[in-house]
Amino acid sequence: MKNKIIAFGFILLLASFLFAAFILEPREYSAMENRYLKQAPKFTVKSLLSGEYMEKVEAYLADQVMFKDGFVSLKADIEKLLHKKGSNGVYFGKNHRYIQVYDPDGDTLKDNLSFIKNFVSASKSHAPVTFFLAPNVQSVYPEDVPSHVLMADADKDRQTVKETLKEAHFVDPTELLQEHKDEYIYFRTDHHWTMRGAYYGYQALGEELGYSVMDAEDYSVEYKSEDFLGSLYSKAPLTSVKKDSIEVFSNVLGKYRVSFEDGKHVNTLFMNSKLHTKDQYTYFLDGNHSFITIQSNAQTGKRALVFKDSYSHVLLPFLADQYDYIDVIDLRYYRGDIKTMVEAGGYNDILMIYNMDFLATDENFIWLQ
Amino acid sequence: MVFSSVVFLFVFLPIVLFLYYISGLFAVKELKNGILLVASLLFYAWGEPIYLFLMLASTVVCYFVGLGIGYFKERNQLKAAKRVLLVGMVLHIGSLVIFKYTDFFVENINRMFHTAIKEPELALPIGISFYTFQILSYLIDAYWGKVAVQKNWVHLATYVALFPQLIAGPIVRYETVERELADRTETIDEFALGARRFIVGLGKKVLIANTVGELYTIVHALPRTEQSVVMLWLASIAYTIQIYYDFSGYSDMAIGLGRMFGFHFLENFQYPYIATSITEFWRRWHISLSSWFRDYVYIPLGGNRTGAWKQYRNIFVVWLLTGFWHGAEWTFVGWGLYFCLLLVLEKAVFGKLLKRLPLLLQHIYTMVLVVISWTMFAANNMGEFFTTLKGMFFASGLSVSNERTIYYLTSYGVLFLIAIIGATPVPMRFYRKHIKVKEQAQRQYLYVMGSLNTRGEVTVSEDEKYVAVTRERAGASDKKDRIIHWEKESFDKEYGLSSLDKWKLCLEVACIFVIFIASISYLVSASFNPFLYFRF
Repeated sequence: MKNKIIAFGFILLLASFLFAAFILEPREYSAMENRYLKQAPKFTVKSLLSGEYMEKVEAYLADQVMFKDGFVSLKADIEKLLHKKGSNGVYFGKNHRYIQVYDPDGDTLKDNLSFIKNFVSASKSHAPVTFFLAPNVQSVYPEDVPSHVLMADADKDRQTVKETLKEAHFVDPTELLQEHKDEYIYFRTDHHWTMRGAYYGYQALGEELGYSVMDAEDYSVEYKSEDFLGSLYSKAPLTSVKKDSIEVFSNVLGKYRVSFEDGKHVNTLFMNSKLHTKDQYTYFLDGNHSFITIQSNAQTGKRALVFKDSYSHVLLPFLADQYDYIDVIDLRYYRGDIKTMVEAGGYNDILMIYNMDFLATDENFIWLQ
Repeated sequence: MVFSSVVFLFVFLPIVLFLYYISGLFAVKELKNGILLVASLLFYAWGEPIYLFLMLASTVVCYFVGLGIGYFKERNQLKAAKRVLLVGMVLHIGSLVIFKYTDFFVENINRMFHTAIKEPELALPIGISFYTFQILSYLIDAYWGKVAVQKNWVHLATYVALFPQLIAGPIVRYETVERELADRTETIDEFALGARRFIVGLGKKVLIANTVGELYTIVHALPRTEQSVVMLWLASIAYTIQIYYDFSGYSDMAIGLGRMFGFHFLENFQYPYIATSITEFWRRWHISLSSWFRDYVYIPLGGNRTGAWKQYRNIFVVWLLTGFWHGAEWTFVGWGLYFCLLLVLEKAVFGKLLKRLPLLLQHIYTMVLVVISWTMFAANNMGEFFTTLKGMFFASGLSVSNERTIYYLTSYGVLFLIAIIGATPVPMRFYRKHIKVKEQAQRQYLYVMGSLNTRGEVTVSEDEKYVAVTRERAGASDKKDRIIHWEKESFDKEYGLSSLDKWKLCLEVACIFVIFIASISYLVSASFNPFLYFRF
């Protein structure tokens, strides 16, 4: 009996995988892993003789195997079971929290800070420059980081940023966020903070720049989604994951118009259609764009220029109530003339909104020169 | 192709199994071997499209040399037979030397004589060391008359190219499979044992060897300043674990696949890491290789029968060759001679003393030396080995431990523990004692279930002895009738499986499939999956 089950079970398994490989339509994209899957390689005699063809076939079959998503999850689960601290660039933190490994390479932070410093010196005669540095999750929830992991000291690096950028107004909301750590201020499965987290960031920024900040209760607060699985989950998709929610703060009296670099525009800060895609964080301001302009009915007569990463997408909706007009630049994609903009834009404020990890790893700050 | 790949598991293997068992339905004897041979050639060509022809040529040469030996032996012309054997050996060893060692020799000649001969940079044909040794065992045994000359090329080529053992061993001697090449039977029980052995081997390779072995690669890619003494030891232990699980896993898969096709290969590993001396270690490690050198080199050289000095010379020759067999690099030569020295020392100096030490100390002595040997084996060159060794013994000023070390220790600790326990007979003993349902009860159950359910009559099972036992215990004179009229419930109560037994069976089957599914999940999720034998 036992032997029959093993023998026929084994054959059945092999046969069904073989069968599925021939029957199933190859998938283009894995939402779970957040990447494009390998497609059937082209056959050439050259690639056959060099063995390249065989390697590609193996990669293709592995990517298109039946239950691929399940297998990827299973592997992550086994690694967690075996007390591996993490997998694929993320750690498995406590309280179902994924923690992105903070591991800046070499001199990137130093270089970035010198680009920013030069930019601040050159620009501050045109408008006051404020540098807003959002902490990453491990600085707000250090107790959730597993013990004995290899992480560079982000708190020390934050201090370095503060000391280097003395010429700018510097806002670090870490302490305020820590005071509110019982609230839902960081996603568990994504590398971003939530809009609630950004609200406290907004408070901290308002204190420095003298905004009149509306109380949290005065916003209309609602959950837009309960099934967000973010970018960190995709790196090591555990079955035991706790899904994230998208909470949105909206000012019921606010009227907005967002124009994108391609000339299109919408009259809202939030894109409902994005709630049905993999990356639900793009609900906020439609995700990454090289350049957008946000107009509002704030009627403060003020204009701002913002340099930012994606942490700002949940903060900018609050800022829209402080400025009639905000130009937003993402240095990763924007290749226009920044100098002229700063000089001729007539801005009341220049804001730089970045998170620590981005500041220490991104290599596009050179475009500030 | 390697066993731990999607192509092999989900395309190659099911198709080959299907064709093989379909071909068994036809009365053509050659068909089964023909299919195995074609499958083996495809298997080889998938990894070595060009060297396929080299391997085919080897089988042809081997075939004719064998015929030649047979021809002269039949006519009692032993000298001529020996000459043919020598020609065959020169051809096969020659091709091994040319493809495996030319670059090494040229490089060293250049270094010694400051010449600049261009290295031909021949890629090493995978598995050449294994199949060459198989061919030699056949030819020598044929000359010695231990095996009959194979007159059928398909059978012989099937033996040489048989894909289960083609690229990573074990070295299957022709005498082991001589009878089965011509005539073998496959049964479901054998198939199941094979499948299970294969799955266990796959798990050893994918779940343990690959995951632990990763640590060695990570540590040795670090800048020296970030390493520590403990970390270097961890890395070497990781490699020690990796090579055992990888190599014995491959052997398990080979033995398992062989069984699925009706072949019975000999065991290649017998818990080498529980050895209490280096001598014992080598009786347990890569048995097919060490016994090959013993039978075809050591004993023909005179073994231990020609005086102490000649014996030491013979040991030296064997270990020089054993080391060099593993790859064309001084580290492998050094590795072989390192063992040679230890074996001679154990034989001549402290072997007896060692046996008087507490068992734990004997184990520690053995494993420390084995870990050091693998450190040399894994190093890219002797310089790298000495650097690592100095680091391991506090001679290069590394800190004892650091934060990174603690991270690796805590991250890999559970895996290490599982791997270490798994390398001992403890799990198998536990299984035999507590999980495995007694063979007889199982058979009785199967037998009666099968006979009652199908035709309602007792057919004589393949195991007559069991029938006798059952009859006897049924206490009947005309046992046949009595057994037929057993009700299922009452039989189960008397001889069948208890519910605990059933749970145990379920657990066993479940474990096997869990290992299989878990291995697949690692295989398809882009994990570290190296092939360690590219230099063999």
